[in-house]
Amino acid sequence: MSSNRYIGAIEMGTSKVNVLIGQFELSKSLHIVGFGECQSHGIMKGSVVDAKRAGEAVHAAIAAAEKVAGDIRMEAVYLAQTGAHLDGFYNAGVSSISATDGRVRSGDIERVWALAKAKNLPEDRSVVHQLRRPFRVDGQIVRDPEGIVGEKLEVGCWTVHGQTARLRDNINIIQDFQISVRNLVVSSLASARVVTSPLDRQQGVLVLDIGAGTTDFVLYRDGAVLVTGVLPVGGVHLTNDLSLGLSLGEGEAELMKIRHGRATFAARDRGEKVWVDGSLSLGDRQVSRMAIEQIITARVREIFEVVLKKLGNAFSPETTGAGVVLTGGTAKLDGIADVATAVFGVPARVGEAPAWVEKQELRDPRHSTGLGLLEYILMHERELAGARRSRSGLGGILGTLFGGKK
Amino acid sequence: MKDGRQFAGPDEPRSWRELSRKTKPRPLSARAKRRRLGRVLRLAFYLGVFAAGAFAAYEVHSYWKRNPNLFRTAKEAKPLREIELNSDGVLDRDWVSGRLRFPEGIALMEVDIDAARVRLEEGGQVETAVLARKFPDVLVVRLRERLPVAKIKGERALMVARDGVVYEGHGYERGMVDGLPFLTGAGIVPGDAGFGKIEGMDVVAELLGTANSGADNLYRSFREVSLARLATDHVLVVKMAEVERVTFGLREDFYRQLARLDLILEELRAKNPGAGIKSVDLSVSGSQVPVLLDESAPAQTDSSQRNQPRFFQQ
Repeated sequence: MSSNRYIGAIEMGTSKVNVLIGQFELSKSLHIVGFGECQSHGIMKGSVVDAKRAGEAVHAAIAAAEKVAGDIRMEAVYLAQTGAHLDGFYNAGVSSISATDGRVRSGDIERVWALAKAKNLPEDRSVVHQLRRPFRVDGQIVRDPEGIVGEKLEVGCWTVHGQTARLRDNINIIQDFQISVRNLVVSSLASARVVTSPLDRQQGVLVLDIGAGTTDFVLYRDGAVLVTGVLPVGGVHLTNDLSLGLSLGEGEAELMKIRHGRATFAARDRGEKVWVDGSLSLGDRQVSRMAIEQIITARVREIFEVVLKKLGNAFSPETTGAGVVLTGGTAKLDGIADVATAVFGVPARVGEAPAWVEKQELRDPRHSTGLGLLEYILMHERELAGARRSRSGLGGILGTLFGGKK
Repeated sequence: MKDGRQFAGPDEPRSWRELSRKTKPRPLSARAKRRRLGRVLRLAFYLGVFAAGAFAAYEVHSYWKRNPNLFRTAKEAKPLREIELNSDGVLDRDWVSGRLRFPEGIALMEVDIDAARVRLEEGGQVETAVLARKFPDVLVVRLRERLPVAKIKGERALMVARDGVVYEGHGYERGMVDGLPFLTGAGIVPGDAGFGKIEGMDVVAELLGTANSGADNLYRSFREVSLARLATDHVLVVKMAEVERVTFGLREDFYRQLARLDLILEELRAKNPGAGIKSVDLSVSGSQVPVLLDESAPAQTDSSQRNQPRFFQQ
């Protein structure tokens, strides 16, 4: 195997398909070498509704990115997942510590984790993530329970699952282009990796990725994922609301949102109007700025309130020390952080891309999922490389021969 | 333990990694069709290369089966019928056959070319031997022989070549051997592979060669050449039929020295016919050559001049 490998990060959104190609060098570092973006077709709210059109859009974006990267071929991709079909549930595993000296052994850890994961799904659903919450020994959170003395060991598992058919559709689109899918990653988890720090996640943070068709969210506590979720509402719905409320065409409504959209009221003069087209052409008309802001504010506030309701008791300002971080294309709306602060009762901010993202175009919040996937790639490929090295050593070989897991 | 990447265990819910690909035809984008076609063509190319290689191997095998002579092994080759000799010296086929001593009926392919070459060269008379098989049953031998420039006294005649190699000579004419001067003053060191090389023979060969070609009358009277003073005094001492000791120096051209010797001998014969000459020293620089006459020779001159070195002016 070459020491340099090309792995892609693909996000198939409602409005855009984004492809980022990372060059993975010597299993240690990752450089962004290609970027392709294409108007999305055949994909609604994260689900493929027209396979052929979706394939054309995705394959065009992949081809563009590969060309930018120097006519390379990607080895595999990490694929972001979103959509209302994604759901999650919590299951706990509890076990008494078996050793006579009361010390936790690796066998106890494996057993309790297996218990936490062992919950069946309906036939038509498949697991996307099984996210471990912190271990507790006799109710106390511990980072690494092995060797700690106690009576009871417990761990929680947040399982993210989705409709098998929809997952398969997404995978098939990539595999149709002769590229393998190495991993599926829920969009919120990917975005959260780039807009939050490990300290944020330790203190507790809620990340909302407000895209065009969906709003993905993830709540962290004690450094681990507590809850994830997806709302089938996003920036497109703001545009639809403007279109219906102001009798505008879809394109005009989108322009209004981009030019004059605000998530909070700023218009002082109720009579202030703005031109729809702004080119002074015949047929152009004016609409109330206040009406625009009212419509958008209402929808944005509704999104946040629905998220808060979905989180339920899992969310509390006391356990969310790092506040709320907003990302995604819709997060660029002026004043959106203020609305989030008002609804959630904790400070909110629009997340920024990390410093290692040098290209200005990629620092836009709409690319946070793709960038997050690249961070995932780096983390996981390093772990895989480390696991391969340990398996290939004598200890690894002996371990495999005598029943070790691969 | 990491989140969500491992495959589902027997008690765990099904993971997305277990999803199998649908097999029924799906609508593909034009790009996907092109890429798939490219992959199929690449696969077809590799299969084609493999098939061509397999077919070529089959054809070679079949051809070999039909024409076994093409790859005949050593055991199936014809026995050696003849040794074809090509030499620049005096050695003949009998000598070569006697030297090689091949067993009766040996196959041509069984002949060890390298061992045969070593056997031919180890005597010393052969400088280089080149052997080649000429199928189906002839061994071609090409020899380059050394030429003797002197000989060494002993129980049997030993030749000395220009490069100092000492060897037993075979096939030389008696007259030629008799005409060679003896080499004295040289330490002959017998070794496992014959005799050791004699140092300084290139100088001797030059003197003898010059004499043989340019002063044949003198060369024919050369009886011995001594290397005793070569290393110390840089001179060669030659015993001639009529001169007991002629000293040749290395600083001057041998041809000039031979010319002077010839002149001196001619003068002496004219002025002192029948007088014996003890020594002529051509190695002394300058125009005068010391000559010592033999005191026991009949005197034709004044007795006061006997045993007095004479100096011939050049």
